Amino acid sequence: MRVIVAEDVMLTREGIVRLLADAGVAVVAGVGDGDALLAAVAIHRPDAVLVDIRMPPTHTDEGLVAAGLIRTAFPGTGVVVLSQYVEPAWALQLIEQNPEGVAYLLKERVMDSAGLLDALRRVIDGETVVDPTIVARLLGRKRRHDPLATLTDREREVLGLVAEGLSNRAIATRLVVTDRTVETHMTAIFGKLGLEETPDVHRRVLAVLTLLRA
Amino acid sequence: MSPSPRFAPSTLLRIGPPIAVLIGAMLLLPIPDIRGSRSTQGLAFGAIGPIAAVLDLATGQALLVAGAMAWLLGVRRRVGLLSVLAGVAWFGPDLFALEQAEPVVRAIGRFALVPLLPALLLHLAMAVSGLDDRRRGRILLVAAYLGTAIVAVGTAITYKAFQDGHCLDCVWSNPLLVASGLGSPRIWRLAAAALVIGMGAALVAVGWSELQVSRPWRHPRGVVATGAVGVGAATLLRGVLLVLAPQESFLDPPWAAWALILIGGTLLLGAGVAAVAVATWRWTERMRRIVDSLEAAPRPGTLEMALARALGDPTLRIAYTLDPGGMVDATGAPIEPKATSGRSLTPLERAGRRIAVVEHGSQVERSALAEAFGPTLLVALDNERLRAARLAQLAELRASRARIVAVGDAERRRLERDLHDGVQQQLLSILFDLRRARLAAERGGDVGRGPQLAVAEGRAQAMIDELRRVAHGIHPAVLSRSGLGPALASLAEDSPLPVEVAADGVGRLPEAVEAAAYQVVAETVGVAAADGAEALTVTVAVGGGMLKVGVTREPSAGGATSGAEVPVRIEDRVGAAGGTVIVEALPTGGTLLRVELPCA
Repeated sequence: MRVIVAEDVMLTREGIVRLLADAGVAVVAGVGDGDALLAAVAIHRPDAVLVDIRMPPTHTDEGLVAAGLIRTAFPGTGVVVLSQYVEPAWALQLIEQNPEGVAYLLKERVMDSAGLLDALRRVIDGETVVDPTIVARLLGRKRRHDPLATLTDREREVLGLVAEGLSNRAIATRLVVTDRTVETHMTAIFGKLGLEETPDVHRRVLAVLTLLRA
Repeated sequence: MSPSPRFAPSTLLRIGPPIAVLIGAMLLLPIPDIRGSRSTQGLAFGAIGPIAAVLDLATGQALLVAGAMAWLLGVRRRVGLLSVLAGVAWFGPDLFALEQAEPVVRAIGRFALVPLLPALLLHLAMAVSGLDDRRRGRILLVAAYLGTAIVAVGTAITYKAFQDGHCLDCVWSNPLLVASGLGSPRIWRLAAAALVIGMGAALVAVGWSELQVSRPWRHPRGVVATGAVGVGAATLLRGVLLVLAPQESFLDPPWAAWALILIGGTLLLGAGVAAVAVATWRWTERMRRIVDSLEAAPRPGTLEMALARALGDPTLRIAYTLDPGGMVDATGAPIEPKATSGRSLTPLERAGRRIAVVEHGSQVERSALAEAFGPTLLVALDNERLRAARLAQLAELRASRARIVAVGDAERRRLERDLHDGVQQQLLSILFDLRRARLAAERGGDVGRGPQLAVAEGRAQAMIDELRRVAHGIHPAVLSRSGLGPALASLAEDSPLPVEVAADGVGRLPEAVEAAAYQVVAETVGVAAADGAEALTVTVAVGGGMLKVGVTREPSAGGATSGAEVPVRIEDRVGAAGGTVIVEALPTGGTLLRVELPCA
């Protein structure tokens, strides 16, 4: 797996690079801003990039902009956006603009090697991943008119795990149920959210978007 | 603007009848003279012909009527008086020609009224343009009257008709003759010629200088000035004739020319005075209508609009003088009146201090404008100036409050950035190090240190979480990056009570407006959560240059809703942003906080 890391704070960047190297990931380049990232992607054609959401020059949403550009120009490269903010609005913005092959993770998630590797693999496979902290926050919201109100607690839990980017098998393992049970839940969720008629991968993304927008 | 009658009917009723009576009287005055003596020949210039006789009569009457009009229609008092006196003087030669009259009356006509006419016309022309109040004007007039008096007295007491070979008509005895030996009539005749020439030159000069300012097609004062030039030319000619062709006979072409030029000039002068009277009256009426139309507390700018309408100059602007210096318009906004080509500035004073400057098109007469501001209008103007000063102060205060809040907001944003970019990054790198150390320990089989490091890791992660919470509370980054809608959605997600947010279609707004709206909602959510409210609904919409935020609080189960009071912090925040806030009690028992912020 060949990866580029884009992070303007040298200390953090080196930490990420070391952690990825420890986990056996080949970091082909480390860059400090969006322009350098795009140039490096054009040269190295990596499988995925890890990009900080705020970088020079404006320290606002350069990471999100770069993610969009990379996904458009190099569909074969997955993008993991690393953020300091527990902000569903930005996760939603990222996934709405790029329905495939993107992840919105909190910065500290890079330390969870298994989780990070899993996320990288998923974006390379074209799936979407949302940080568990954000998913937890989305599911924990208090609201009176909940679009997800028709879902059972179990179905909500399953939907949350889908948003985190887990496969049906991984969900089954996590919940200690059979694959078949998970599939039943998924069918119920898609039915209740009115997503029966769409292809499977796309359907999962739509379900995640429903959760993010709710 | 609805078309308004040029003259108020009530005004016509008020001053119409006296004008009619006076004009009638003036027209009738000289008629007995004509009838009583020698038909049209009774008029001095009647000798030239019947048309000249009619013009002669009309000219004298014009002066009398114009004087009456000027006096009644509110032109400066002396203009009317001078015009009437000039009219009387005009008929001087006719008095002289009345053979059945007392010799004293004839002498007055001959020696006082005839020479007085040019002096009076000079004074009249100067009075119309205001030159008589200037120092040089006064000196000129004193010299003219003094010279006239000396020549008149000198001539009167030395004149012997039978000695005057130039006056064929003069077969009468001069009752004023006292000193037949005092100077010869010829000397007095030369003195009279010199005086007349001087007077003529003065008339031409006065008329000419006034013509440079007000052209006849712009203002009736130009007509008066043109008349003055005509009278001056005639007077000059007479002075020359007194020396060169002393035999005064209107059958002689030079003398006839003099008579006709004099008639034409004087007629023009009289007509001009009448026109000035009408113009002044119309002006006064307009100004009176402005004063009448002013309410007790007119809205700022009413005076300017009324004045612009009255003058027919829509570009007219009034700039008020501030005590600390500078100029503002009626709303207190700073302006700088400028005199450019086609634009003039007219300062207005009250009680010796400048209160305003009117910027207007050059077609508006500056002196007329300044004179037209009567005491009532000046009081209204001064009132508006005081209010404009207050409004300017208020605007400055508002701006200063907004600046203070803006500085606070900027500081919060900076603090939030510092926490994220500085402290959080440091903590993250510590977390990395701890994680690597733990993994290394675990790989190395160090069972004691692994859990220790895991605890430290957990603490570092907790610190990061806490730091995020604090930084978000100081200033939510999502507000700066993505705007009010996402920021409020994020606020709702964090809220301990259900908060519904409807902010569709609200795009990006000025930073200060977004910050104010966000803080208002955040504060309200905080208060509601502390009070134990059930739920809140937040609606945000933009319309008409205003951001409208409504926070509906549904009634609590306990039934106890907090009073319909706006928390002071919210009031201050909204006030600093130039907005308004109210709380309404809803029929359901809940409350609705309504905030409007200007966001154009």
